[in-house]
Formats: sequence, C-alpha cells, structure tokens
Amino acid sequence: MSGHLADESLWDAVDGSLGDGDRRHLEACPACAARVAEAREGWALAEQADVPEPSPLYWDAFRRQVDARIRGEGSTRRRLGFLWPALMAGATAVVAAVTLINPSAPVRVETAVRVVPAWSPSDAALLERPAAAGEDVLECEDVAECLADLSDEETLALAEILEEDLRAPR
Amino acid sequence: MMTQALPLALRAVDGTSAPDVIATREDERAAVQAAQRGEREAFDRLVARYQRDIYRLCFRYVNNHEDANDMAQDVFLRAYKALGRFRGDSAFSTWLYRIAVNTCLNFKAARRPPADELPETLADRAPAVSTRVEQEDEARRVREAVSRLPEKQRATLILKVYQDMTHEEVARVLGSTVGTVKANLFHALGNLRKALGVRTGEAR
Repeated sequence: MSGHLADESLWDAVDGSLGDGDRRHLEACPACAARVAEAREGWALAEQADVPEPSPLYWDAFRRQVDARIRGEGSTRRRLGFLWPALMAGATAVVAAVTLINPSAPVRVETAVRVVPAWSPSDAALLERPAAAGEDVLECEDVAECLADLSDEETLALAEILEEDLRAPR
Repeated sequence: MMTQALPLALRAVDGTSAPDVIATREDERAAVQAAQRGEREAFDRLVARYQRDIYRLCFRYVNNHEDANDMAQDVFLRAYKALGRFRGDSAFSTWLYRIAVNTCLNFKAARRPPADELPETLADRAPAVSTRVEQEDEARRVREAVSRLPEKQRATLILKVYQDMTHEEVARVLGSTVGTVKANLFHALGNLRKALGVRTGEAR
C-alpha cells in the first residue's frame, strides 16, 4: 500500500459515497484526486454513448424469431428423442461385448467420460413405447449409421437429451 | 415473502407490444412458473419484458445490430432450455443476465482474436480530440472503446452504467464481490477515458 486510497474507495469517491476519513485524504492528496477526476470524465463519456434504438417493429419480429428458434429446437429434440432407446441398447451391447471378451479386466473409467447407466428392465418399455402425438419416428436400426447422418445441430440436441436423461432419476 | 431485490422489474418496456406486459414481481414470478410448466405464451411475455435490456447489453459487447440480434436470441434460447433448472434462488433477471453475460463472452471469444482487447491498464496517450461527445460518430467511438475494454471491466461497466444495476446486483450477476465490482468500475472508466485520449478536464 502506498498510502493512497484503494480502488474500491476511489470508486466510492466517483460515486459520491466516500466515507469521512477517506474524504479527508482525498482533499489532501492531489494524486488520488486526479485519479477520481479521470474516472469521472470516463463516466461522463460512457453515459453519452447510447445504443441506437431499433425500429418499434423490430421487437415483435425479435420475439417471433426467438419463438421460431424454440420451435425448431423442440422439433429436433422430439425427433431425436427416439434415438435414446436405441443408443441405450447400443451402449449396453458395447459394455456387454467388452465384458464377454475380457470378463476379468477391471473397468476403468476416466472421470471426463460420461458413463451410461446400467440397463434396467423398465428401459424395455422405452423401446416398445409408441410414438406420442407430434413425435416424428426416426427409423434407426443401425445406431452408428444414424449418428453419422446427424447434422451438427442435431448432434448438439442429442447431446443435451442424453445429458438430461442421464441426470434424471431412474 | 419475497425479499430479494428484482432489478429492472418495474422499468417500462419501450417499443414493445407484448400481449400481456409483466408489470410486477408477482406477474414475473407467475410467468416464470407458467413457462416452467411449458406454457410458451408465458415465456413470450418474459422475452417481451427483457428483450430490450438484453439486446442493449449485447449491443454494448459487439457494437453492431446484427451480432447483437443473434446474441440476444441466443440468450433467450439458452434461457428457455435451462428454465427447468431455474429454482428461484436468485431473481429471474439476475439469472437471465448471467446467461447474457456468458453468451456475450463466449460470442466474443469465438468471433474475435483477443489481441483486439485493450490491456488491463493503459498509458495516457492524450491526443487532442473533441472536447465533448455530442455527435453520433463520437458515441460510436465511445461504444467501440467500451466494447474493447477487458472482459471483467466491460461487463461491470455495462451492467452498472448502462443497465443501471446496483453494485450488489452486478456482483450477483458476475459472481463477484461488491469490492471487486467497484474496483473494476474505477479501472474501466479510467481506461475508457485513456482509450479515447481525453485530456483531464475535457470530458464535460
């Protein structure tokens, strides 16, 4: 410390909320007073730079665009939601295959890798679940092929679906 | 009983024609709960309530309409997707602004090399420039300087000066402390003045 006011106190001086002790220092210290004056000039500049106001019509369009994007997300998620049972089945098959090939090998899981939860009998109901109203059925006999065909947006949406399902209590 | 301050909740929304304007904290809480139940119209009311504030915040970051429009939409899309995880521990506006600031920071990181950003502290170059910022081109120059401030200083300045938040609200949005907010504000204003090359006594 050099004996000058701390930055926090200097801001209080700019803001007009400086305590009595610090105010006495400020009145006697040209260096601190100069820094406060500079910051006040900066504030004066900042306040004069307003953002251009868009047309009043813009806001309705903005909401429509947000709504359209939400609807787009929803349709993608509905369509990809049907991939989850297939992925569960695929993941279970992979785990089972690894276990059969080397049943004595310890399973080592890196902390950065998500672990697919164990398959349970109740998951079978997911595989047999008919498409709900509004859902698009995605035929997916070969999981690998389905995944390879996904767009970037679909891949991201699928990742979110998987993440949510993994978090959900089972 | 709701004791937490709800920044900006009662501020008039200019230039919008939302079907049902959110005018009170209770309106907002009800809209959030309805949106969490999947009522899209309720989320639309929340968008109408905050779109202008979020757009302006984004504009401060990028200083152009096109990017600000994209970013503001991203903010609401992210908010919609994360709405189920909002538990009301903070004000909805605080939560939304936190998403907005993160969106802005991520957007900036993806679009622009960090070399364009100003250093944390600047030497006073003090060339002769106009004595007052009165014209739009001068305003644009100031906005550009704001958009080039270091991240924390820029976010703090935008939320405090332009979004008119209290120090406590800014600290909550940024996950910081009031002391840090004040220090960042002080440095941001000093750097802004220096970046614009204003001599002492010229700004006003």
